[in-house]
Amino acid sequence: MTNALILGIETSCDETGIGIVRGTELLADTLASSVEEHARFGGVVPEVASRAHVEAMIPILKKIIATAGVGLKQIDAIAVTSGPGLAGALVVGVAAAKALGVALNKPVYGVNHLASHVAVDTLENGKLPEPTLALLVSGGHSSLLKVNNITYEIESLGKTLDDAAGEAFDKVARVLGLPFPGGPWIDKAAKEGNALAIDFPKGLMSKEDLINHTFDFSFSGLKTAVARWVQAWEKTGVAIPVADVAASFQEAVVEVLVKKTLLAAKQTGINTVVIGGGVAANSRLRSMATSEAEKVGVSIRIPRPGLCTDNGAMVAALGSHLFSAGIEPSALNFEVDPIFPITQVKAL
Amino acid sequence: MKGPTNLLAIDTSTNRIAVALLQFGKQPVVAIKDDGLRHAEYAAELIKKVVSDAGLMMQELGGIVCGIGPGPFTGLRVGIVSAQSIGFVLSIPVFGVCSHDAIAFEYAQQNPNKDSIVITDARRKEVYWTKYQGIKRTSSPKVSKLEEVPTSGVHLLHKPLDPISLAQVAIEAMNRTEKGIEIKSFATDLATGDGSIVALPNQVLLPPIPLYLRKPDALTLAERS
Ligand SMILES: [Zn+2]
Repeated sequence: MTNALILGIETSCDETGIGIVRGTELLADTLASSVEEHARFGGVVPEVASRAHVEAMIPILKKIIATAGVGLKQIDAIAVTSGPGLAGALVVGVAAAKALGVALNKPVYGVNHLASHVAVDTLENGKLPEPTLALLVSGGHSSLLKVNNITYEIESLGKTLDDAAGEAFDKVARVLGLPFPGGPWIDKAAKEGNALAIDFPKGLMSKEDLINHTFDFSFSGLKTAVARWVQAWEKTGVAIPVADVAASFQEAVVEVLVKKTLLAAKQTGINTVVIGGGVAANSRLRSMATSEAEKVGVSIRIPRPGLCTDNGAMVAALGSHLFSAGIEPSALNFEVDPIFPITQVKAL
Repeated sequence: MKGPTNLLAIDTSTNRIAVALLQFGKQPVVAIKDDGLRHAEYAAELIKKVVSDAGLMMQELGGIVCGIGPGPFTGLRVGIVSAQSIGFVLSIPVFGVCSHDAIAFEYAQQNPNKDSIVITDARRKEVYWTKYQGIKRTSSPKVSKLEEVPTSGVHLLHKPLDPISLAQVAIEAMNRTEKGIEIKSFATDLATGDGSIVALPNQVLLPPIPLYLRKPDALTLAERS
């Protein structure tokens, strides 16, 4: 890695993040989240997120420059999430990044958000073995990837066919009367509950599904099963055992994620797995992944929670890998792509 | 003229990405692209082009004016965020101008006392519209169905935005103020507010923040139950 100074901008969902890295060293990472504004809607509202990005952009930029202790003019390149994500939200970050690039006369890399979730791990845990597996789980995505080279070659092994894992946490939290975003609340409630209390369905784990959808996920059926179970229970007039429902639901999600990930490790012969995305902050996922992986000699790498959720440092980290590998920056008119495929690490 | 030399003007409030550079004693340089879905793709490229076509370096810019709408939000934000970002890097002032003022400008030069209405597309079968007498705004921008616009006896201005006019509206506003440059804020709750109730200050420079005339499209949990 060179010691180039890279600024990364992330606005694909509800977090406005800017990070600065030098090589693989994280210098500063700032974030403004509009999550509280979305809470009363029970989910992320794209227009609310886009408005918040505009309001946050310059204040965050000022803050990162102050905390990183570097001048904007020292930046060697700018990286920005060009997809996948919410179109209106992506546009704000991309417009800012391109304008900064033009004003500073520096190259701009439009980068893949999912690849950034993998790249951020190198800031904490060093160079990635090639190939590496990656499990990315959040409110917006659930993917299992084979990362042959973080700068140009990533394959999708599987992804969710319906809801993202984090989305299921949000919806189940709502059914249980817990606040948005649901992840941390389910995690907390589950600690007091019995994970074996209720046998919720585990998506795409049947013999047949394991052949046709080996590494795909489905959480919509589980979410519906929890809602039905709660509805039925409500008729009894007895208070809902929130902790047991939360624990049993969480166990069902985590078990599927861990089993499929370790199956991928076995089938591909790859023994390093990076876990990222907001759901990677879930304590049960962290503990089950680590203990189960240990049994089969697979090593699990998970960045600290602040780097698992969306942030600017992850974009800067990927930008840094691209820059130091000598990969051409994106053309100034590169596209915002809400469904940017993982097979493309960088916008053209 | 008061105010900055080498004024960059950017507007993305319509299907047009409109950029101009105004210098003292020289012809303005203009770059335009009509592509309503590609503001974020082309804005920076056009900005770079006008600056280099004018024979300038970015560091020689003296100020930026951006159209703050009304206009479809996703595109509108591109010009504003671009202006803010460049202004921040170069430490130069960034002003907002109501985009409809720029459309009213040219007609008002020839017809200083005539009534007109600027109409632009607001998508969803609605239009944004603003009433003028000459260059003076006589109503704040509104959004409604075209049939609901009080058009009788008024000259309709339904034409593309000229970025030179945007810059000229800003320059006139600077010339009108004693201190040269003064930005008048307008009250709007950006995150949730319904901007159609905003009374927009007239013939002055405005902060470079989007003029939202619609609330975000979503029901709160309370509204849904
Ligand atoms: Zn993410």
